[in-house]
Amino acid sequence: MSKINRDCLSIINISSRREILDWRDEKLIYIDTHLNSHFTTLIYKLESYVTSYGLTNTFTNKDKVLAELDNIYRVWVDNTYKHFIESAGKQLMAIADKRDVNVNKYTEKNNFSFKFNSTPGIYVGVAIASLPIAMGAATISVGGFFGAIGVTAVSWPLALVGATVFSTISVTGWKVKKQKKLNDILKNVRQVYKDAIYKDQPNCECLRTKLHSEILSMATNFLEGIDDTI
Amino acid sequence: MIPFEIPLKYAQGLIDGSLLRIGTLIKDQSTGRIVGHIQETGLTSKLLEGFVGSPFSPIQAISGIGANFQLAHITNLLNTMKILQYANIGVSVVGIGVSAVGFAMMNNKLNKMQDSLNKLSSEVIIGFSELHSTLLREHFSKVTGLVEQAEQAYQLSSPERSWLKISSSLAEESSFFRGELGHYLKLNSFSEDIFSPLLQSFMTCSTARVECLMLASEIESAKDVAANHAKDCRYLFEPLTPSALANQTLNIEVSDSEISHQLAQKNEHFSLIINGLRDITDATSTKPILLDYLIEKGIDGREYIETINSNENEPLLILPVS
Repeated sequence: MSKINRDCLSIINISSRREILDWRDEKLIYIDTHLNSHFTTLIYKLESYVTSYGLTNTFTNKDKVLAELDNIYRVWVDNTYKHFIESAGKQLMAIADKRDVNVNKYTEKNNFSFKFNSTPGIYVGVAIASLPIAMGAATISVGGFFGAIGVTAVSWPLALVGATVFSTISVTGWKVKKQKKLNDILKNVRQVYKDAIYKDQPNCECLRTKLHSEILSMATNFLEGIDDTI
Repeated sequence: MIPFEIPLKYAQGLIDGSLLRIGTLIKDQSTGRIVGHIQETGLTSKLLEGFVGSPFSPIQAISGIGANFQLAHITNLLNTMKILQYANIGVSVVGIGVSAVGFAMMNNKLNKMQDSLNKLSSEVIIGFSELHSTLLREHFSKVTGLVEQAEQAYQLSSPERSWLKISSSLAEESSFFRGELGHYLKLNSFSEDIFSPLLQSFMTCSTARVECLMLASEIESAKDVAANHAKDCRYLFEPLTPSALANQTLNIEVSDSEISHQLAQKNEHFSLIINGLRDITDATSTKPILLDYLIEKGIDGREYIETINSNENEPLLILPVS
């Protein structure tokens, strides 16, 4: 390769690395700053459901209530995930496309600086292989999508279901303290879903961590594909 | 004579987007080719020597530096860095182009860092034990001694051998500080007070090595050192994200709403630091390209260093690529 080509390629590599790092950092901050407003929407839906279902029905049909709450959560995760990851994936593709154009425009053909012995198009595919959207998310059912991104349904600990969330109903005179009991239930619902979104458990990452991991792995895949020999 | 130009000549192109700065070089957007290398001068380091504060302070902070220099020089540096679209002065840690700090001034910087580390060792900071502090002081002293020897070598009748010897000793110190930085960045806590001196020490070792090799007219070796340093910077700094640093330093003993507010502030603060580290990484990545150009044009390393060090009229120059 001529020196001019080598220099052009080095510059393209340096620019691409910087662009991808800036993209990654911006997306991670965006998740941190916007996940909370999405969470507020979820809580509103969950609370509305419990409130509209009524205290007596909630008490007598707790399995149905829990299933429906999880259903609301699944749909919300689906939308939230798409909001954060799908748009990020599109931006990543745009960076990759720009790189392809620059490599083709400014360097001799067959001198692509990719570690993978392939064309840039295939390389981009490798970078975003971890993305569920790359598998055709539009056709995946809600449940399938949910599973595809490795988010499990919120697990309600038996003790919590029996003792904390609904125990207030069975203890004493619920007619008298109806509003307080409803508030207790709502508080517990909020806490369980908040933990699922923000708090990592020993064997289960929370949604925020999963979203971060997706962005990090897409960026890492891309960076690993760029030859770092300047 | 080395044909430097003033950056103002490139200002319009940078503003209208026909030219783009990447690291410390300027490329033509339509051809993709390099049109010039940005090079700091002895004046830049003198101006920034009076600056006290974080190495990742915003560019505007330059306007507040010492009054020993004509305001025109400070304004010129501030404006040029703005035109070149640097977000903060972090890049000056590694030098814009080949470092023009000079060994004597490097020593002043090292002494200042040692003072701040001594202060830190008297405070209880996670990841900074007394034992650790003693070890760091030991290595600081070695680097200070080596840089002092490099300055004294100018007085020798044939200093080249000394510069080469000093360069290999600096390689060992560079490796030590790289290891310390790597270790520190893996800890689950982050303090700029510890990170900054470690970073500056690592950078000083590398820039001093490159300078020694250039003075000894071994530009090929200088280029290899610069290329390896660039790899080290990518390895160390690319995994860092503002979001992770913000979360590491959060005070979680506050309410949810306060955490959100705190997180937003910290994200902004660490974005500035990370941006500075990215500028440093890009600057180190483009340095080998500059050195390659000097080799191609047969420019002598010592002549280059002495020319940029002695320039006291312009803080930044452009070496046009023909």
